[in-house]
Amino acid sequence: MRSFVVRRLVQAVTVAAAVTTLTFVLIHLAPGDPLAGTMDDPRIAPSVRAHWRQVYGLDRPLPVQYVRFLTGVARGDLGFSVSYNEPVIAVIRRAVPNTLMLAGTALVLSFAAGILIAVIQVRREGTLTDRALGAISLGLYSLPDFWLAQVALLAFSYWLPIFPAGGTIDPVIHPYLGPAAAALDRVRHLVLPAVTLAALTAAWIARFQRAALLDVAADDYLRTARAKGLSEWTILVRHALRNALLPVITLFGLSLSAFVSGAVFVEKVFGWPGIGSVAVDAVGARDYPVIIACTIIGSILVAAGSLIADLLYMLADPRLRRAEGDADGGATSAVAGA
Amino acid sequence: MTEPLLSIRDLRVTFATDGGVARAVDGVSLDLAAGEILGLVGESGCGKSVTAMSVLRLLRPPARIEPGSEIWLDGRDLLALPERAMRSIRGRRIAMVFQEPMTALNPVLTIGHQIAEVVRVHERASRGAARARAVAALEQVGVPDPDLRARQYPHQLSGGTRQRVLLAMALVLHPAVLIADEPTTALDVTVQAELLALLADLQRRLGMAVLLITHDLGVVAELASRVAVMYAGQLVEEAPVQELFARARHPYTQGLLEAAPRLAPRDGPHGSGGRHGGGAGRLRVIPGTVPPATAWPSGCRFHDRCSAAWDRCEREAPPSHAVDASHRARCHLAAEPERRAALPVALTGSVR
Ligand SMILES: Nc1ncnc2c1ncn2[C@@H]1O[C@H](COP(=O)(O)OP(=O)(O)OP(=O)(O)O)[C@@H](O)[C@H]1O
Ligand SMILES: [Mg+2]
Repeated sequence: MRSFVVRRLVQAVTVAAAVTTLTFVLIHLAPGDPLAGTMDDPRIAPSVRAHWRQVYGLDRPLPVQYVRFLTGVARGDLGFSVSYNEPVIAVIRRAVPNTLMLAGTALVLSFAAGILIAVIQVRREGTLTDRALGAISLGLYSLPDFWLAQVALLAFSYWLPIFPAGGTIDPVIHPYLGPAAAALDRVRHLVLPAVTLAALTAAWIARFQRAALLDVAADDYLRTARAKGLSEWTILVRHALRNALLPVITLFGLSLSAFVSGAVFVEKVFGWPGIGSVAVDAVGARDYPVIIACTIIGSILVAAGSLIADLLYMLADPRLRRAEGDADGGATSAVAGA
Repeated sequence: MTEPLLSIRDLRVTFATDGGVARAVDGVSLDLAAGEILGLVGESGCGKSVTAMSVLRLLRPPARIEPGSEIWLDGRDLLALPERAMRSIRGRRIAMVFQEPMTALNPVLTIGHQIAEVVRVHERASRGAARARAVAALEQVGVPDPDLRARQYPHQLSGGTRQRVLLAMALVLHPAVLIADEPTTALDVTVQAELLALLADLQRRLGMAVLLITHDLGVVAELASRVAVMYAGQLVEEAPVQELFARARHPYTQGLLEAAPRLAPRDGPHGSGGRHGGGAGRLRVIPGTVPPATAWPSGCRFHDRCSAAWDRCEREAPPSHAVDASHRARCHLAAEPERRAALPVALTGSVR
């Protein structure tokens, strides 16, 4: 188990390094550099431009820039952001909690809603409820996220202004709110972006979970459960769902990468100051160090997601928990249960 | 026989299939007395499991129990009970052990949890009390180290232990009726013997009635007090166990007896030299196979495989004749003793 985690961590670091290198190379292959916007002005003397490029190290050959970049990263120095005029690490540190808050909420919401929808559908299999929920999730599933975000914004903060249009807090009144009201203010700001971000994934999970539940529906242990006198709900939730969750857990890792990329649009639409917004702005400003930092964060999140998914899977499926007695004989180290 | 505990009356179960309506169980009436072991035998596909599942109403669409069928327990027709009342019967009054110990347990829940669940759903037992009952039930079925086993998952147990666990689960509330659907088929021979001995022992101690479904006439000979033989969705013969083994009246039953390894005469006039001649150990098998349930033959459903059949068998379905007070056979021969007398010895019930 421990060796498994170590192996997966090494894997995650390797992936992050590869993604970082790839991003670095791709960015530098594109024309222009961070100073292009402000400096490539005929009125600025070439010598001045050259000077600033030298200051930022942009005049060095690519391999040299890369090595300098890597040594910086190794020291925890992600470089200096031209567009924010502060160290990249400061920008990232501000944005990451916001993204984690948004993606985390969306993750919980989407799995809770998706699984609940699937359970209801399967309990009412073949009825109008089942088909209606199926149609809704198929519809949601085929919508683009930026479109959904804009429609949600229009609908619930403009036509029907029940939620704020953007940001994480109300900058005017927030400082004067008590703890409960302040928390409510945060939640109100979180609802629209989190629900929009969760909706598509929830639809995806619902479809997958429904299929997984129907897949185990004919399993023998469900017949045993029925013969014990359990109610259909208990059978569905305690016996069928516990087994049908296993394939859905593997979606956890995948959904995290969906959230990271989905967050780019959704954060931008709702003015949510997370990694997604920072990344979009940085691309606009050709702020290389920030773009690369965002990529690194993204790949760390995705790697962490798949690691967590694997750990959850092992937790949920006792057959994968090793180091326990096998058939009858090895009763010595068996401490399953708990 | 005294007043039966469980009484199946004219049970008919159909399946709507692509190939037409399968009449898997077609008019079965069967009584189970308190404390008896009734063996239900027959070839694969003749409707044993469907009959058993009907008793607990565990069949799911496309299966349909036809109107007119009745299953009586405690003065109530189970088939007329609301689902809620039926749930309180399952696992408490009637329990069932299934054929496949490998897949009949939930792989992600502990053994203890799965047994305690029965207690918790039927009685207002606390978690701890239910758990203690589960451990006690494991002990009762001879699982060593029950405390530890209760904390383990099915994949950590051998097939034999899993079947014991299923038995513990079925017996934890001391049901009046246990339905065991080929409980040992998937196990190897020594484990099989152990489990059957355990089953017989528990049946005696708990005084429950057992409907024991099996292919194996040897098992029936050892455990059952009565035997019902099923063919093509119907009961074809029913008798006390000694009577059946000594004087089987239905050619199908006789065929089954000849095909049973431990019961077939090793050196009698038909054990060797016959169609399958080639050694004293060779078994005779009933020629042909069970027809599909969508197309039972006309007349006697066994006539196309029966060596004693004559034209009447093809035309006219035989009723279930009473051979004596406790012995019934669904065969025209039972009503035509002259014809029986004219048959070769193998078909007159002198197998043993
Ligand atoms: N799900 C189903 N769909 C359609 N037909 C079915 C289904 N289950 C059972 N049947 C029909 O019911 C008949 C009897 O099946 P059943 O399982 O009761 O046989 P069995 O006597 O228990 O055989 P075995 O010894 O193999 O367990 C089968 O021949 C089949 O035609
Ligand atoms: Mg069967």
